[in-house]
Amino acid sequence: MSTIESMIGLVEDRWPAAGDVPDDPLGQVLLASHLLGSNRAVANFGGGNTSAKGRTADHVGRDVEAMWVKGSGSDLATMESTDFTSLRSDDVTIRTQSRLRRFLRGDLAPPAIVLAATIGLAAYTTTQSSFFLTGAAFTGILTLFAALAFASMAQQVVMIGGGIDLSVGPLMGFLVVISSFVIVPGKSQPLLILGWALLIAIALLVGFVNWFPTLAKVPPFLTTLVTYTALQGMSLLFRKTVGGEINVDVLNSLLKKIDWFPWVAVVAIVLGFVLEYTLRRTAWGVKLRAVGSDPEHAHAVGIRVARVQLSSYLVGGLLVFLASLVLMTQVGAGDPTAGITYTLTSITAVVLGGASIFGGRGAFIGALAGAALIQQINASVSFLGVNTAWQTYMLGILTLIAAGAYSRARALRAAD
Amino acid sequence: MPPTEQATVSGRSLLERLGGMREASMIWIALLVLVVVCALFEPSTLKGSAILSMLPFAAILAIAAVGQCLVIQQGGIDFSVVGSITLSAVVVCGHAAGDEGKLLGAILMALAAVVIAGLINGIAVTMLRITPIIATLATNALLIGAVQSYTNGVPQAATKGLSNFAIDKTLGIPHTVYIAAIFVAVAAVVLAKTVVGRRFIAIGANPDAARAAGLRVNRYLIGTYVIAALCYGAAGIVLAGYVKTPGTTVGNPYLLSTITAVVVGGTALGGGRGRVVGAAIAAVFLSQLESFISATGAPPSVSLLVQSAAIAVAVAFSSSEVASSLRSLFAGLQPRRTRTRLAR
Repeated sequence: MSTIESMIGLVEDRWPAAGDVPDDPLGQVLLASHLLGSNRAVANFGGGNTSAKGRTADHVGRDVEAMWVKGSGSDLATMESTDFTSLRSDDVTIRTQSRLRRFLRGDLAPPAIVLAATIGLAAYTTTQSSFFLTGAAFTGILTLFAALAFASMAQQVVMIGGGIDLSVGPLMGFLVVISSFVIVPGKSQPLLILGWALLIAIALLVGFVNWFPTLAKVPPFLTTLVTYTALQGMSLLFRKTVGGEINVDVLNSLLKKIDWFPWVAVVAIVLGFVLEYTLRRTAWGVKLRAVGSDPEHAHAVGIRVARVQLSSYLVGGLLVFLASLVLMTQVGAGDPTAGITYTLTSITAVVLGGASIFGGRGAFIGALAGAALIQQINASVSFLGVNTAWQTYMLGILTLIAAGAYSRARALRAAD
Repeated sequence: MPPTEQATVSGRSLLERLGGMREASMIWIALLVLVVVCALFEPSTLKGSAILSMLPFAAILAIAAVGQCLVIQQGGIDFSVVGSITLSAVVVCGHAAGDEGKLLGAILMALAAVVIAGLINGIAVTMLRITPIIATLATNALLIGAVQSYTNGVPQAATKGLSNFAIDKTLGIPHTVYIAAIFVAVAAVVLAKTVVGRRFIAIGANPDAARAAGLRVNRYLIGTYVIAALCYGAAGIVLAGYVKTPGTTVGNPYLLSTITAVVVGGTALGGGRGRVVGAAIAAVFLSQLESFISATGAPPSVSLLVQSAAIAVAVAFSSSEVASSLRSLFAGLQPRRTRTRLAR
């Protein structure tokens, strides 16, 4: 047989009969190396590398998954078993997660799931009720969504920084009450501007008051419980009963309600994406998440924890101000009890959106998605004509399912 | 979290014991100050009739606050107070439907309903590992839904027997006060004197250590939410009798007021030492404060502002940093003592 013939023909099978093959993987790969290395049809002098995977006993006799690799410097044909480097598979295998698995454990899975649920519910409601997708109904739903979206993002920014803000709802209400004094029909332009400035200043001041006691390590739950109560009292102090007409025309020109479409909903969504980008891609966002996850380590790496937390409460205050603008168009007068329910609803929305109440984790688009699902449930229940009790049943059941699932996903992630 | 003084069994001087009781006694001092202020400015609020109209509300708040206090001691917080109180109030009225013969069954129904809610809370917190605030918020939504389904928005009246019992007095003291006293006393004695109570305290102080010591932590936690729910249920039943026709929002004030009572009563959020007696005294304090403010003719807004100030003061005293800076102010006034401190 000529050399050419064997090069173009099939490689000769030199593998011995079953009885002559060693049992262990190392012996097998050694045999294969010798056979290959001595066959000039498949290997040059000394050339080639071989490796094998299999189970073996380690240095203390444990049965482990292992891998043998021929190192450079030995000849395939003449090498010994000691020329193989043996490796424990556990130590060298890179764990690969499937894309789906990685996605499900990330911060963006909850918003995606919640959004899918919202769209599904909306689609079902559309097939069942011809009124649902009409302009008038949609205006109302989108406006309510915008108010809750702003309130939820306010809750979200404080929560990512490791806090919680019970005062969101009463602050919305208090701003509505004050607006019934300063944003009223017949005021000149400069006075209106002063009025807006006053409202923004109040929102920022409440944010500051909520933040300040954190310096003395007072739990934010208690601080904001105080402002929650005090702001309700202040609202009643200024308006014992509903009174004072808010200049809704000014608001509508501000909120640009064109025809039936409330642009404020688009503003809320765009702002949510901008904040999300800020949270993921800017230094401030990274610092905020660091502070929320672990303030001590954040401090250790040089982040000014108190300053970052202050910024979260101030941004929260501004978002509550935006929420109160939408609420003003809804109530139209100084109602001392307006807005209070937004506290618990905003907490529910961010939890549905996947936020951790212990800080560090959460997404603004999660807050948006949570707000959308809540308003969709409320709308669907009334359009489908089922008992209104289902609004709260659905909310309760979904919160338990969502919070339980997210908690499980986080436990798995922590275990990795 | 203030450092807790370690209880050394022997050799504590009276002064040391008083020192250890400082936080617990704050609420007594606050109540005393309030009584003096009332005597000086609005003596009418200390008349028998005024006290007798204040006490039932204080008693109902105290019963509910015992439940909230137990949950907070376990490091939780219970937002399902509102739903539990309301559901038990409407069920005890709706199920009896004015028939005294069905009253006992109605009471059991009401309690069974809230026990289920307590179980949902407990299972969600332990097995599903949901944060207490979220779990109880969700359960509250379920309870509010149940209230709407049960009543269809139409409130029913309590039976004559129930409302007579809730309004009547024995030996000049309203029945509601006896019931509150039983709840508070049982909780306080069980916590202080029994093995179960001691284990309960140990779990609240450090669940991981308690688990390592072999205590069945989850069982205790679920039990806590169930017992708390029973407290709210009892408060709801008594409240239904007292207000005669409880509406679907009858429980609404109790979320804020039970948390306020617990915090003002000297229990720190986040678990650890709970003070059920303190919470009950705080319930009396807050109710008397309310009656004082309304006697001065101030609008309800002032009452809310004063309530928020009360929480702020209580928080300032229980916050270790604020308290230590306050203490250092008064350091010269107090005899210095070395104490064994058990840092949490």
